[in-house]
Amino acid sequence: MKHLRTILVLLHVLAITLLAFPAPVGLTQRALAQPEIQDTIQADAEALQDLGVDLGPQRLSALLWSAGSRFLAARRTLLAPFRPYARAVGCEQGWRMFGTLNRRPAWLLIELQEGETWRPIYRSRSETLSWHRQWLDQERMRAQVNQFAWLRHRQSYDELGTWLARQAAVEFPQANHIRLSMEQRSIPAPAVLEKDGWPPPTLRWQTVHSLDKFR
Amino acid sequence: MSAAAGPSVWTRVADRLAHREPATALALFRIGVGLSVLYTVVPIRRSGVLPLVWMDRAYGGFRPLDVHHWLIRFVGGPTDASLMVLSGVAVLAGLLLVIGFGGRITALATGQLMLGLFAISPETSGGHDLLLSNALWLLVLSPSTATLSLDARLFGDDHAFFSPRPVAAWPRYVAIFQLVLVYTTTGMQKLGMEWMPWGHWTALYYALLTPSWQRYDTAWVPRLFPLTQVATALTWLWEVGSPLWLLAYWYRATRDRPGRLRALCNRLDLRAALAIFGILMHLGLWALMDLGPFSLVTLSFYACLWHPDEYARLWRRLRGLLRGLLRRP
Repeated sequence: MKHLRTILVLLHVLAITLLAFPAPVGLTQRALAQPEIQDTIQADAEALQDLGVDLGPQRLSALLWSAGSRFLAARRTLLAPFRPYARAVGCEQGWRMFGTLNRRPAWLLIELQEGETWRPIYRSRSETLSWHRQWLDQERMRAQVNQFAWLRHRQSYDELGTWLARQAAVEFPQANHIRLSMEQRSIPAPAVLEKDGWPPPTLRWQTVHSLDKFR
Repeated sequence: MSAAAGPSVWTRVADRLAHREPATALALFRIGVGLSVLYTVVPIRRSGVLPLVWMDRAYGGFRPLDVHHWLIRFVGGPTDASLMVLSGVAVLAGLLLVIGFGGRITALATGQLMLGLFAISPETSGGHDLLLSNALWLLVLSPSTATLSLDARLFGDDHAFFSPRPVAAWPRYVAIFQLVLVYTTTGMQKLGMEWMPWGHWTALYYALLTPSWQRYDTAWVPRLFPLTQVATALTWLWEVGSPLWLLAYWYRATRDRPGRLRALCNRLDLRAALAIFGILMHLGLWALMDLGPFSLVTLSFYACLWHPDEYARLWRRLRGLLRGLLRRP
């Protein structure tokens, strides 16, 4: 019994260690091309150059792609026997938390068209533009909107827009359209932010939904 | 192997895993996990965001959801009725874990329930969900209701809420290892230049200004930029250095052996020093950023860092203090 227990406990420990071991999960050419990732590669290439390793950002990027893909393939094979156990009992691992920061975060902005004018009714973290913030500011929805801030899950973004339009159609009978945008801003350096405040946003993923079809 | 060489590594590991101790630490871990389940589900129900997060479009959600978890399929998919029932059961399950009723069955049922709920919408999920499901599986493996529980009061040998009955200690060791694994691997994956000296340790500065996680207005952050740099560097060093916890436990277990470093680490209680930094970091995260139940579920693991005898000593000391205060005129 003692030895069987030891084997099972060590197998569990081995499984979680292998599953948790860092890997570039989600590595795709598209992910690698993201500006935030490219900025990091550029900085890393410069740091390597200071150390006498002259790769340049393009070669470093290619090297990361090639080594990362091979590593992921080997990892898939190695982890295959442990996956069913981890999935069934809930001991899957993956602790990539705040690995890369979004230096161009985005705020969800919702506007309503009444007549010819657009009126903002919600902005992430705003105290005054707070339409249904009890939903949109809840931690799970923050996680969802955070995906949009990285310009990921466009389909979910459009579907959320349709859902919000349905709500607005009931709550604002005089309005005819609702508009969703992701207000993207580069976070300035501390001194600049303190002196000049936030820069004007770049509007990403701006979509307009008609409210008439929900009435 | 000769007798002089002592037992083999395997035998020593097997003996260590066969060790038994009172269940106090595991019980406190269970209570923390139960509270984490409540902290996960109650805000979703209370805020009314449940349909948005976990329901299919046909039942009030904003998108079609294709869920493969057996439990969600069994209840007919993420419908309004099934989700109201499942989330209600999750609240009940969280309460049962806190009061310690149902032993491992409650933990197993809660684990499968939470896995099902988390599988509905991976886009709204986070590291805390993963950590919570890991914690619940550890509770399935642990006799965590042997003390500080209704189970101990109703079904225990001495029918008392507190019970010194020894139970297997290895689930506590695995919980400690899991905690170290989380910190070490998250530190290893902080490869963004914001965590590095050549990125000027700006990670916390950027994180605090990211609207997705802000709990309060963080207009003060630029003024305290140097402080965020220090916190960034310390956090990263502490995370990648968290295997020192394992070294601290090794030194505690072999305190009779010689060595200046061993003696120093034991005298300073390296384990407690690392834990204090972690607790302060999580309290800071909780105060400044809305990361859901992340801090609570992680701190639940901290209950396993201390030996049940240390809890007993602390309890005796607190009781003595309390009595002293009550006796004062």
